[in-house]
Amino acid sequence: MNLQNDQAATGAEANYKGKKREKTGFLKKNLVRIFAIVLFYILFVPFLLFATPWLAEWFLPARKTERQLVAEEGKEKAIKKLQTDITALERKIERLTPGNAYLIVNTTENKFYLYKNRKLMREGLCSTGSYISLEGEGDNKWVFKTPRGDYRIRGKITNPVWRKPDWAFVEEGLPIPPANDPSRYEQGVLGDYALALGDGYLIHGTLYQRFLGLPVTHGCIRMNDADLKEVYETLPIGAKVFIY
Amino acid sequence: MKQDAKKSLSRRIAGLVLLKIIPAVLLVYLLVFTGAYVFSVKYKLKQLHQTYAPGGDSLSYSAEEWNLIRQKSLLNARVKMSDSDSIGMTINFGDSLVQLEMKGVVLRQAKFDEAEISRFFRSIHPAAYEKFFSNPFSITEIEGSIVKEPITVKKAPKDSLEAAQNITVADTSRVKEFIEWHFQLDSTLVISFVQSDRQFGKTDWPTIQYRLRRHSKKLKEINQALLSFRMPAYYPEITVFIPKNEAKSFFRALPQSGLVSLKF
Repeated sequence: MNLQNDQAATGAEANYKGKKREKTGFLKKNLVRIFAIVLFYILFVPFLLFATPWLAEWFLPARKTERQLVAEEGKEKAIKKLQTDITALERKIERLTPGNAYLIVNTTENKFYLYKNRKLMREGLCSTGSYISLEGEGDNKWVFKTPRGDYRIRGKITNPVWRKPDWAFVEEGLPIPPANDPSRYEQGVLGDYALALGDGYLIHGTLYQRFLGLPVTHGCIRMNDADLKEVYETLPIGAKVFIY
Repeated sequence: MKQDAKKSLSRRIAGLVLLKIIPAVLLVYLLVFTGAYVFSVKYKLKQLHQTYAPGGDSLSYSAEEWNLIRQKSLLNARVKMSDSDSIGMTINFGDSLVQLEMKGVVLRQAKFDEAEISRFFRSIHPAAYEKFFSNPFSITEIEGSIVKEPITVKKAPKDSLEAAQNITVADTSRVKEFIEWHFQLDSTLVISFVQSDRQFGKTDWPTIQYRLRRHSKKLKEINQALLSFRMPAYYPEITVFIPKNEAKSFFRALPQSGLVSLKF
């Protein structure tokens, strides 16, 4: 019985070893082929996405001018006309830039650039909209972002008083008071000056100067005291403010 | 014994499918794909020349004239772009300059060191170039590895006590974000912007997701065209490498349907 068992065990072992040898032999024999196919699988999509467009564009002809860069007779007139047209177009574009003072605000980096006579007068950090969407009761919703586009200075105010809008109370978890309630008016929080851009948006000072350079406002543009003073003194009513 | 034979048969079938049938199918597909793409590129160039220079362009141009034509085309496009109320972009590959403009006023300017430009643009005849690039292009699609408007939703507190506890913490989850974005112009060309300073951010998961989205969309479009025996749409592409802060500012500033002027 034992001998029979031993024989069966040896047979199974030999069978297993044979199969293993067969498998290893197959792998050894087809290693290059298998490697090539695996590589093909891996490179298939990158080839479609990157190599195919490159190959396809490779068949395009080069532009004629790149082979014939020699000036021909009778071309002077055409060149002169082109030069005249270019000068006229350049002047037209130059005239579009305001000659007087204007302000550029970058809301991504929270920086401002003050220009006068087409020269950069001052640049610095500011704070713009936080991109917080405040959701109150019902359909009440406020998105605190600084609008992009071109604006004009519509008004200049010294020692501005902040008239708190509804969202200021909602944000603090307080009940909204009537329109002209004394609790709506707060002094000294907007700095010494404010420049109105319309639709309630202002350029003003801040008590939180450590946040300058960060997007933390409710849509207004905040500056430090010195920057605000120069902006206030440089920009007249009607001056352009470009926000991007 | 029977089981072994069954196993060996299934192994053989799997080997045949994986090592012979699938690679053969993919190879045929690859050839069809490449062939169709080659025709598509040639067709696009032909179509452009037929639209913008139908009479052909038999004139030869001097280097100076060709340079002036390109300069005039860009200025014409910029003047037209200045009529728009929205923010536009000018990319001048000759001077390696990208700028944001609004009503003709340059808001921001950035130099780039590197750009990969499709050979397609070098094959356009000057007469067709002048007409094609004398008008600004409109953005028809814009997408990136970051969101255009990073809006955070905040519920209003119930009372002043809850408001005092709700201190907003700045989101620093993607401080080392990688900036990469693209726009498609008039469904004709594609321009990509990739941050050039790689030490300030590695390709993170949102960037990989953006790339996968973009490439799978492209493959899907081409596959659909091939399956319906149509020529696949080809979009000549340009990749501009600019500093991270510039790439981010430009992406956030450009409106969804903004205008873009180009000079090669």
